[in-house]
Amino acid sequence: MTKYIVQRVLQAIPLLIIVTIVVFTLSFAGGNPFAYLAQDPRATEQDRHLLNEKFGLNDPIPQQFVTWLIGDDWRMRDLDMDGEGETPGERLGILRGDFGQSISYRKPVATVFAERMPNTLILMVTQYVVTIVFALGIGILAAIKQYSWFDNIATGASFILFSMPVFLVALLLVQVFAVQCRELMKAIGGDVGICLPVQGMYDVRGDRSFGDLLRHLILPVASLAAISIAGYSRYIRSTMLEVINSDYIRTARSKGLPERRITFLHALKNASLPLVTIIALDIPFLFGGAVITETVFSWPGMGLAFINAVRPADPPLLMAFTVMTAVGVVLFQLIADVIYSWIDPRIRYN
Amino acid sequence: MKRMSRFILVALVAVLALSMGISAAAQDENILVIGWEQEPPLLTPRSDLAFGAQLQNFYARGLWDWDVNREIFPIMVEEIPSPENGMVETLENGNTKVTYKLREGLLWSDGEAITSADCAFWHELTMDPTTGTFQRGSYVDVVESFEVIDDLSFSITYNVPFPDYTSQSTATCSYPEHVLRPALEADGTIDNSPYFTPDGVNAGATVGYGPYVISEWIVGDSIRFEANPNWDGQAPAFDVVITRFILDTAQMQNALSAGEIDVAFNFSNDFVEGYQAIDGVEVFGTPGVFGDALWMNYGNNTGPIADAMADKNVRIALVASIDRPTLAEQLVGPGTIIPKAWHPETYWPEDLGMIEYDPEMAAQLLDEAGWVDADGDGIREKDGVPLVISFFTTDAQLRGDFQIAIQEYWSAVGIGATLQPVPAAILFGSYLENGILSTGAFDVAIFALSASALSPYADAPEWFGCDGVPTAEDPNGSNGWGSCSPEYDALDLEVGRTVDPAARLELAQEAIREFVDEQFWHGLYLRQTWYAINTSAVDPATARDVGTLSSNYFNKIEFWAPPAA
Repeated sequence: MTKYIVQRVLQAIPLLIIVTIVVFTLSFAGGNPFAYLAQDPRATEQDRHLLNEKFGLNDPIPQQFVTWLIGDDWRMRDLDMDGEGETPGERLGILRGDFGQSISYRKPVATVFAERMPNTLILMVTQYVVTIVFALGIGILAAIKQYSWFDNIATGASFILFSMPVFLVALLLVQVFAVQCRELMKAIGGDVGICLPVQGMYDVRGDRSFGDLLRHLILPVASLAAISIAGYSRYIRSTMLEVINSDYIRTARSKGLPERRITFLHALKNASLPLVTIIALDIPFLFGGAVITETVFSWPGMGLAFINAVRPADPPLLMAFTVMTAVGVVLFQLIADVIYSWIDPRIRYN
Repeated sequence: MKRMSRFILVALVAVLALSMGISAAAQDENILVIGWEQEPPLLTPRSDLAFGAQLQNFYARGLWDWDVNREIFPIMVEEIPSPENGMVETLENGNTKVTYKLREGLLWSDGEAITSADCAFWHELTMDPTTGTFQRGSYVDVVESFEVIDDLSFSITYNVPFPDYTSQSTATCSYPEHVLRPALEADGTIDNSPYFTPDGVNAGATVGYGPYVISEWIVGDSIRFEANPNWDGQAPAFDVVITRFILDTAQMQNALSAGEIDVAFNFSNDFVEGYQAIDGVEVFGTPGVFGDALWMNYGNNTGPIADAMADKNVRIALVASIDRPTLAEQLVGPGTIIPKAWHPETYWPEDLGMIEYDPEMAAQLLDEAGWVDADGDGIREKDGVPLVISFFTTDAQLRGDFQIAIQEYWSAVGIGATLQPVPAAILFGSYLENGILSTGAFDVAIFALSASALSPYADAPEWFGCDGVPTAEDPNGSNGWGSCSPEYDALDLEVGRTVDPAARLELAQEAIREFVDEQFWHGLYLRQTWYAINTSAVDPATARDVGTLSSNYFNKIEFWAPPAA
């Protein structure tokens, strides 16, 4: 197993290099982040030069990539536009733990991530827990009660939700549970306080309590979870159906084992093997946040930071984002492989 | 299974009960919440951080400002310098000297006195480009010296006659020296000062002179301003103002509808009807400073129809074939103003005309220029070259709509068009980056180039002058459309040097006539700045006196008040 893990880690290195080169190249497709200053009469040529030099954008792109990797503290920068470098570079490069300076946020990328990551994890972990709990419940029940009214309703709802874009689900939920709810409460003289908030993590007029956070979590979590549950539950249903019709389950039943023990211990354990792959591949994306949902709900997380980094282009932030996700995918796929062998001892890695 | 279902059910009910049971904190404070469409990453005074600059209206006012009618009014100074009050002098060499007199008793929000030294400090920063990455404009080029006269008085001497001393390259006294000087001495730049950062704001490092103090910045969420006890102006009616960051335009509307915010502003025309439909919301608009226009490349054009674009009559035909008023009304909204010239309206000659929609005249002009549809394919051609316009704009929806509609109008008179919407960074890229405008790789483009709303001086050499066309040898010019009128250049230069207001107006009108006569710039519409206000939170009558210069929308926020009970 150790040999296998080392092999996988070594294989990941060229993969990560290729991913970073591709993304680095693509991140420049949007042009110079300070191009718009050319149309600003208040910005002089020197202002533009200084900004570009400060963020290393005057360098050729290959050199910028090298700087991103190993930093520029080994050379001088030309901030006074006299053609000669006089100011020492300050960047250390990602290989020395420096993700660089975000162009859109004007602060270290690591700081941007540190500010946003907790908010994203609150949203994404909550929605993931909700998704897994509901998807398991619905998927297992739908498999056990195949072709029942519950199964039919779950199947129909899954197809509808799975085919809807998340922003549409989000805006529909907002319309119903926030906007129209208030209209209705006003019309009938009810308490508008029961309606859900439209956006944000907290009510800016409120006390920023845990309960306030929960209220604000409901709609974004519901938007994300509704679609995920639709997909996951279908997957669980089909893998469960395969397993519960197999011989060893029939044997277990004939031995008189309780149905709950058969379902959750014998059937679910084997049915969850493919599920581990999906979960392992999804986990890295939890750290990246949900771009659309965070934007719609003004949730101050990684997804919102990513959107701000795309327009105008912010290569350091985009690169850090990509590397983080790529490393996460490699790492969690490796973890999934390890979990396979735990769930199914027949699996061996050589 | 049953036990698990019961547990999940109980947990869900508990979560819902806990969240529903939470009511807003007891509100003794009078709070105004403004929806803010973009969070500034820092408070640095840079043009790419426009939404940060607008926040200064709450906590860091300037020497003076302009009201809704663009009339100047004093804030930190006793009076606005002018030749009449003797505070603007023309020196023997013809250059301009402006004296400033701060009002007595001005205090920063931390209680320190505001003095001329604070203004001198910003002059020091501006003159040295390495002290911070903020726009300096022409200040470094035109300011010769800064002299502190006493604690409250100082003067700036320009190295040229400088009539725009109130709106450009003027003194700045909005930043406290006692807070920023230590950062400058430590780092050699103020860029890293906590003054501009969320952490600094939360630590109380952001000190200013305004009706409010910036007191809390929750990154990605909101900024909170509390009434400034050291403000000597009108006491604000709202104890607290909160700017709430909401990027999604539909959600901004929903948030106002749900009462989560009290004010939304700067939304596009498409949303006006939606806001008007919300119960208890009043919507009003003010004239903006940005206006999209058709820019015709007639002097920097190397494309196949360069000759056609160089022909003034063809350019007239191009615009005469478009029904601009109808387009503006349909695509932007009723009552939309179509600017007649790039320059501010206050300087337009009274008899300044605008080419009207006249497709017959357009066809005739094209015929006379030799562009005729000989092969019957619907597109005019000359010497085998079809009249197909390479038509660029950015990927903004409204501009795309204009592009498509204009293509239809042109088609009706036998002009083809290749529509090329591109990202702004590509359209506005520099010459060395192969930017479309800079390299002249277009025939016609739609975009907005911000003109000063206050000055008639266009800085012609860079933007419209014959020497401003970017080339491989000199890639820094901004005149990608290749306009070149020595008469206009000379007049504009005079406009930029004439301090006497009456003489300047006369020169400006003459310059504008020359500019319009080149027929390469044709306004499409002037944007309005829209406000939607919840009338149960704010008395709209108190909120209508807003700034109209795009960075000063809330420059009279202290006068905003709740409705009378």
